Amino acid sequence: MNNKGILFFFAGFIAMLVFGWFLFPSLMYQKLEQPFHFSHVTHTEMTGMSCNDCHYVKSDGQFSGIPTNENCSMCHMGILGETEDERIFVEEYMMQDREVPWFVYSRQPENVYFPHVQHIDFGEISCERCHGEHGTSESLRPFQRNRLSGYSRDIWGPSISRINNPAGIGMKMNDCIRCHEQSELTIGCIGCHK
Amino acid sequence: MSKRFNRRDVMKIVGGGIAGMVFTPIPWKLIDDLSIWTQNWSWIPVPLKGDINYKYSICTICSAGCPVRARNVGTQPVSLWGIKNHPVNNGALCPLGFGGHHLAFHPARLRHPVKIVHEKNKISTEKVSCADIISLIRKNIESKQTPQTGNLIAMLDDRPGRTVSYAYRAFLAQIPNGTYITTGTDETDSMQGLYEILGTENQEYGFNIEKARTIVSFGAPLLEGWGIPGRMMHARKNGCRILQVETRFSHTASVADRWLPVKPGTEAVFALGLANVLINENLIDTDKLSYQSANFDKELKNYKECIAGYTPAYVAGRTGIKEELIREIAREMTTETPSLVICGREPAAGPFSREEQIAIWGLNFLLGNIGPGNLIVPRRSVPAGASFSETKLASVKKISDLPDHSIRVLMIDEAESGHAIPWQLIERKLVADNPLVISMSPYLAGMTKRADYVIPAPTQYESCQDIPPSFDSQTATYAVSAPFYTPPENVIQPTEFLNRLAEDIGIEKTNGSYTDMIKERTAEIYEKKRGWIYIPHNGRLIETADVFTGQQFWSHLNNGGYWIDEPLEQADNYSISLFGISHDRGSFEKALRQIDKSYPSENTTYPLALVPFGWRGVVDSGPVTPLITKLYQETEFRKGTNRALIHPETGGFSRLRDGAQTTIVTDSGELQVRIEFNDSVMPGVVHVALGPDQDSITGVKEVRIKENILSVCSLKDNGTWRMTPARIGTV
Repeated sequence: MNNKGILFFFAGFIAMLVFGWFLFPSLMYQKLEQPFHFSHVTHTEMTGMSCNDCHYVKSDGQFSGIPTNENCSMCHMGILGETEDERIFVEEYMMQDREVPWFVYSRQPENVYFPHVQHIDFGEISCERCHGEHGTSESLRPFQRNRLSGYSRDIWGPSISRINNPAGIGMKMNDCIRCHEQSELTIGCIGCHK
Repeated sequence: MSKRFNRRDVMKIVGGGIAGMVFTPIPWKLIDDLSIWTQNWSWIPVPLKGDINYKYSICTICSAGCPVRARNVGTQPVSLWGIKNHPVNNGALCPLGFGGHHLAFHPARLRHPVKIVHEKNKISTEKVSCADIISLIRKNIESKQTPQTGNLIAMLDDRPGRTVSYAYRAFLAQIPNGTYITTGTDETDSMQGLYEILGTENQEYGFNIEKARTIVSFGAPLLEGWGIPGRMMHARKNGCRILQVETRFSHTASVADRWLPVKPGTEAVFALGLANVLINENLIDTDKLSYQSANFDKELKNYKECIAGYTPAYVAGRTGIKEELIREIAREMTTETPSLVICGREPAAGPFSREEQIAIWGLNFLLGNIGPGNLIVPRRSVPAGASFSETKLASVKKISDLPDHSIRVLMIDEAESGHAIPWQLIERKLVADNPLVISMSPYLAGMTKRADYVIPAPTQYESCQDIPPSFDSQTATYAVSAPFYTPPENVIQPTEFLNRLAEDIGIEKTNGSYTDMIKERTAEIYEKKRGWIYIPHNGRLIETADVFTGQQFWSHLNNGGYWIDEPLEQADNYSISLFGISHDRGSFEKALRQIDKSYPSENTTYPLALVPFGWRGVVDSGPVTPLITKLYQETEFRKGTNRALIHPETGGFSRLRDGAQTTIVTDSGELQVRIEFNDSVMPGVVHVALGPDQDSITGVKEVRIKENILSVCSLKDNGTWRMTPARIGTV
């Protein structure tokens, strides 16, 4: 290959590196705004509520997940405050008895069974370990949906390479396995894939 | 350098781009996302969503009867799990049991009575009515046949002791030539040698595995689903040592404390070698044994003379185990006590012969293991229920004991033992001229593919079923598998089918529904007021005497409760026969000589020893759950059907390469296999796997009768097929 050939080869090489590391991730994920903004910090700091008031483990061990309108109805039957988000929530959802179609950042595929009760109560793992500082957020960040799989960017984690991901970042099977290994907990396939 | 940008330059840029792509996340990320994308296709089934509730029941896939907790969405179970710390199995479930709730939706499921049309190796089905099948059976019963032409109307039940088994026996006792048979291929049959030594047929025995410190297993797949699997796993966790005497490096052998790879067919010789050391080195407690057995002194003298030739030096030459190691194992059995000897059976290779069983089980007597408080303990039988206790029942016969070509009508019960049954074992007992074979099975798989008609029976968790004690259970137990689903419309409970048949031929029907029969049996258990019932909801053991009413007792059982009897206290003194009650010393010695000569084969045409192998619950070719496909098809964690393992030396001798397609040839025929070299296989031996066939996994539309390794194994008159002389051909 002459000098010109080497130059073109490296041009293609570098272009692909730039595309693969910087453009491809943003192409793979579609940014979607939540139906309206929700401030966790307003609910925890101004009203004195805790995470467990809305996201709790039921008496039979099931996790409540994202609260439904029924949970919110005690305070939000009418518009509280003057924000546009509050108006949307009350007028378009509460008053019309429609559940809010939230995009769930941590939703796992259907073939995964994740028992919150075992991790919270028995494993004594804090919510932040997997969900980060979500509980103290002012508003909801855009949901990044994978164009192929349909799942959230949070499952893959912020680093596209996933190299040296710290514990608690990413929610793929390898992340579960790594955490279990660190805690010296062995579990077979059917522990999570039932 | 030319200034012109040409096609070649474009190719160089593309080449550089492709090379660069390898150093980006693109390929890896796309592979990952695409695999997840395939899980989200609209036709991929997903678990139901909704309110979760829990229900308790018992798995009936095999005779172990493991308790399960079902996680349900509404009435639909979405997952099954064991019940932690359950006194029967310590909460363990096998891979089949975990997917038991999937079986109702298996693609091979039958939902209507069918006629099976056989064309060469292919079969197809035609819908028929239940009345058509009943009419055919009636005609056969009414036809005047003689023993010479074959006149038996037989019911094959491979899981005797259930309430339905008693219903079959009551029905057969009423019709001329009615015969109730078992194949004798399950684990219970491996205990017949022990019963022969103890001279008893009516007294049941079980094992106090939890008390054993050492277990010497002769071919029993102890850690692969033997008995109640959770018991063995729990004992192992608690430090029980396992010494595995087996030719093949099985999964159990691979995790045992010692693997003793004896040459095929020499297990009994090895056992007699151990007995020789135990007796000649005075390692047995003669005072204890004299106290336990009235005829001990005389029996020991005879036995000592009989096994005098099985010195460690001789046994070492026959088995391939070093002389010093034989002495060491025998000594270990008396120092690492209490030690239990188990005569097992390989799920695909079948049971040991009766004489081999006697030689192996006899070690337990020398170790003082038999009797209450020891490792092999007597237990009570579970009552049959008031109506069957007062009814005449057909006796239990083993199929190999029937004359060839004697069965005119064969009905096959759906419950499988989980062990392989060569079809030729059954086929040779059928009349040559148009036998009628009717299977009462939920699936078009396994033996059902050989039948002429199928009455579709309810499957797992579709009807109330009862579970008598597993053969290894140390006390009597009883449980009821409560249904989760309603069976499809045209599915018929076997007892209901028998009632319709009884009505048609004009004999007495059974009283009430099948659930009523089970209720009647539980009432009889309750009346004894003995033992405990384990309540899974709260993990409590309640004394039977503390349950207020029989209805309440039934309610506990029907909600996942498990009745456990008290240990049987019995006098220690009994009369034993170390040669077995059906033998004298002469016939026992003659049989041993025959066994001793079986390997190596002197047959130059068939110089190899063919030994099949497989996994309990899968080798019977019945339907398997989706989890099994992971173990066989995707990961090859288990060897699939017709995979032949040979030592590279054997392969080299036959000019074969690893992965080659070839044929295994025996006196009974030939079979195409795929060769896999494995250093753990003994030279001169070929192990061929028996796994689930494609119909058992996917229930393909055009069902084929594909031959497996059992079809070329030599079936002996005593119903065993552990080792067959074979050679390797080439395709």
